[in-house]
Amino acid sequence: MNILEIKNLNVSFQTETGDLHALRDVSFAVPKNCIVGVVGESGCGKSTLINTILGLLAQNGRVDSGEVVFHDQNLITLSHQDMQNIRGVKISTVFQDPMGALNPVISVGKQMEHIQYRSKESREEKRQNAIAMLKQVRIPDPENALMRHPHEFSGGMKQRISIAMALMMKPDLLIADEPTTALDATLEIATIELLKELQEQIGCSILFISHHLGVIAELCEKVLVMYAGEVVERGTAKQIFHNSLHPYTQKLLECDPARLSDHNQVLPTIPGEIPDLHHPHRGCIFFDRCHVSAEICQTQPQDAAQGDHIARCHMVKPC
Amino acid sequence: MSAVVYEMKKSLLKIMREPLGALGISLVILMIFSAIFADLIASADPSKISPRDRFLPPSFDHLMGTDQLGRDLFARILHGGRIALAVALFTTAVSLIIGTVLGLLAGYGPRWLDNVLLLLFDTVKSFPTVMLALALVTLFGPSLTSVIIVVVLVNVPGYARIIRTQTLTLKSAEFVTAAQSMGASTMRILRVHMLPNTIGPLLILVSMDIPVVIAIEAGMSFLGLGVRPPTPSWGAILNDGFTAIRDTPWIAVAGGLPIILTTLGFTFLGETLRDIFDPRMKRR
Amino acid sequence: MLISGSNVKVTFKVGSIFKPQPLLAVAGVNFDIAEKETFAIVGESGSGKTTLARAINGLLPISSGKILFDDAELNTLSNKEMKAYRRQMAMIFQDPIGSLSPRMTVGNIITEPFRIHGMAFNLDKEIRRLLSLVGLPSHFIDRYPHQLSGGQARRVGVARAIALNPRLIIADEPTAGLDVSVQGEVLNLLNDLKHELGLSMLIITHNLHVVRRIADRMAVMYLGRFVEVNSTKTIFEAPAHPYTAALLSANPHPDPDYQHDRIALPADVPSLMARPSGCEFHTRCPWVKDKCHTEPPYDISAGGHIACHFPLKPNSKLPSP
Repeated sequence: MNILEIKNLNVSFQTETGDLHALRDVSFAVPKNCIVGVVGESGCGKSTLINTILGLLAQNGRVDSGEVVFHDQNLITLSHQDMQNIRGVKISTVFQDPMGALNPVISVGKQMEHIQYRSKESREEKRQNAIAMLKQVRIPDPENALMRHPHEFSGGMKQRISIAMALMMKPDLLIADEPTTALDATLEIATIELLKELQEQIGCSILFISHHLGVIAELCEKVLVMYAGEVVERGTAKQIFHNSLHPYTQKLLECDPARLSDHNQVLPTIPGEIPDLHHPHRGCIFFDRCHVSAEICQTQPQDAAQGDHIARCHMVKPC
Repeated sequence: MSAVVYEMKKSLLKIMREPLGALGISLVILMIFSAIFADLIASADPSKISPRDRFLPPSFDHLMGTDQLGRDLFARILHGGRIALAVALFTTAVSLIIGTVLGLLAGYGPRWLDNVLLLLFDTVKSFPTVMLALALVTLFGPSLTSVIIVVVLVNVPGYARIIRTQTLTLKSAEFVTAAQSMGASTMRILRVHMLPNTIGPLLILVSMDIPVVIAIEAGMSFLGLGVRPPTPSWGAILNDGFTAIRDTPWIAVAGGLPIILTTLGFTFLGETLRDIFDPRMKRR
Repeated sequence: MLISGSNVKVTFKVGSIFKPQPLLAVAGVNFDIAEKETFAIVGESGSGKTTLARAINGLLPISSGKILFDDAELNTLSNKEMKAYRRQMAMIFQDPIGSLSPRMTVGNIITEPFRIHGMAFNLDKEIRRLLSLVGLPSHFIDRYPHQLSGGQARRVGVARAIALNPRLIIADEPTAGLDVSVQGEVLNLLNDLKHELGLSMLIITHNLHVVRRIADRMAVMYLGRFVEVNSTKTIFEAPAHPYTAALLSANPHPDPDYQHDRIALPADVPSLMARPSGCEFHTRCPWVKDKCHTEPPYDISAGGHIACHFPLKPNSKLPSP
């Protein structure tokens, strides 16, 4: 059973220099009670994807076609009010910068109370909920923490508080956008352990976006790889990391220094840059930088499926 | 240098695409043009007194009529444009230079200097413009000099504060640290790194301030504190027309119309510039 | 030795005028970097590594200790005298695009060092030479920083740093803000330049993979002190300080089946305003013993050193709870 299904989503932005095709024919599903990872580098369209799901696209963005199905409803067709009722309750978000969610001039306790504005509980009950949540994310001395302001906490703690706030309403889906990128390695580990624990307890699904391959491998059951606005490969974590099909995924894994066993001094890279998305690309989006391309790659590839492991590449034979 | 020209051309295009911007820039150009070529456009002598021709309504010979001394109003307002233009551009330039230098010093220099300058700005700003005008007129007598000094004093604190705020923000920017690490002198850092990056927002404000400057000049002249007759000033003409407004309204119109058009022109231009350079503006 | 520091301390004054509190950001560091050597300082946020780098570069004053460059005591020099040394020491900053002046073209950015030091002739030739050294095509000369990608901006920063043929490059987080597929470019470039130009490099980073690639020797920094200094090979094969061991084990491996032998630390780093007694790591150390609470293990000698009463033996396992 899928909690979120993206079907053939196409999103573009109107700019001074023409239309920018930010997402092209994006399809994937987030099952219930599952952690799905999204891997991609700058310019892959991750932010556009999140904003589309949340109904927060900029004014010059529009959904050209496709659906975002959440609980049998196409979120794109919902009104502003309906989306507001979903955001924060059924779908909540954690960002890379915890200050993206935390108001610097209001105490943590007040903010956690405000989040519960839809609930009919009394103030004291809401306060207790907040304390319980802070305990779950292992903030020491939660009663006192409620009275402090965000700047009094360290970066790692702020991130844990924003996770607590995101999960307080027990959403069905948590979207985590690079939540650990700004944290040091030891904090990063602690944070993903925490996310794993909370996910099990609450039973929500998590859509975890990161360009840090190690974290994705540790945390996620299913993974999708995005490049320049398209999902070029999707499957289980094992499939992606042990048997990647798409040339971009393969190259990306090669570049991760953690995977290199040979300590020779020259590091692999992917030469070139992502293509300009203003002009709709003819053929495969990765063609210019691909090491195994052929004539046929000048035509748009379809999704080739090997069971539930799917890659958008001519060179991949479906079976 | 070619980069500057390129940027200017790009900005001009953007301005022309907005209806208000195009209107604004047209009005401004019209005003500047008519002031510069006042002699050619209006054949009459603005100072020629002709008692026979007093209070004549607008006609072919006198496009805007004549005033209480028989002087051709059309010629007067075109020449008045020169005063307005001179005051506006000259004082703005002087305010800009002084404000920028003081702002850079306050922002980049030591704390004590910042405190002293801020105190200075706040003191000057606390005087209402009219009082300042009166005080200066007492010292220098009503004249163009008084007008200029009033305008400069009124504008400098505001400009300096803007530059100061921008400078403070940029002081800890990495490219400034990089310059320091390369051994750049303070002068170089201020001139090459701070100045170009702080002056943008100020230039936009300045273009929106020009109508204010014109209004100050007009206001002072209206009150008799500005340029002395027979020098034509829009404010003076407006004053003349004010007393005679019931029977000979065209004089007031002659004085007021150029003020309105110029103010609208610069305001539209300034607002368009601000909208263009504000990165947060979403495209419609 | 090209550059060395002994007992370097950097103190910041925080708090109000009435209750000033000194914040010891760098608490007594000894280091030395030889010619043509790459030395890395590794640590997490708040360890003081960036502060130390800036102090070495003279951007921050040191509150005590000495920094010697070719036998000259840098910390005693006036601004004017220091300027001459700035030609020999160049810094690359963390934010690739932010460290480039927004309204200057790439050409002007790269040649600014020449202008600052009164050597502004033959600039066209120099621009071309430097751009080709860092692998950027010549049409980049007229571009502005906001028109560059992270990787390209990083290369411009490198070109600017090598402009006057310095003997030492200080690189603060050279791979920060870069995608994985581009990080290799920068590291390969730095390595090539090191060999071609015979540079020494001081790399500040929290990315251990970077260190493994290009550093000859490294130091691990915690709360403003070096807790372990040794050759990179030795530290990676047999970390002796518990903090080093924890750091090395904290890297998630891009393999879902990988068995992690993780040394988990309690996540909270003590505040610099309330330094723990004895060994400052004792509040988080899994191998802590009584002595660690009371006696500081900091010896002042440079060279291979470990600040721990009970250094780990190779292949140490976590003590049982």
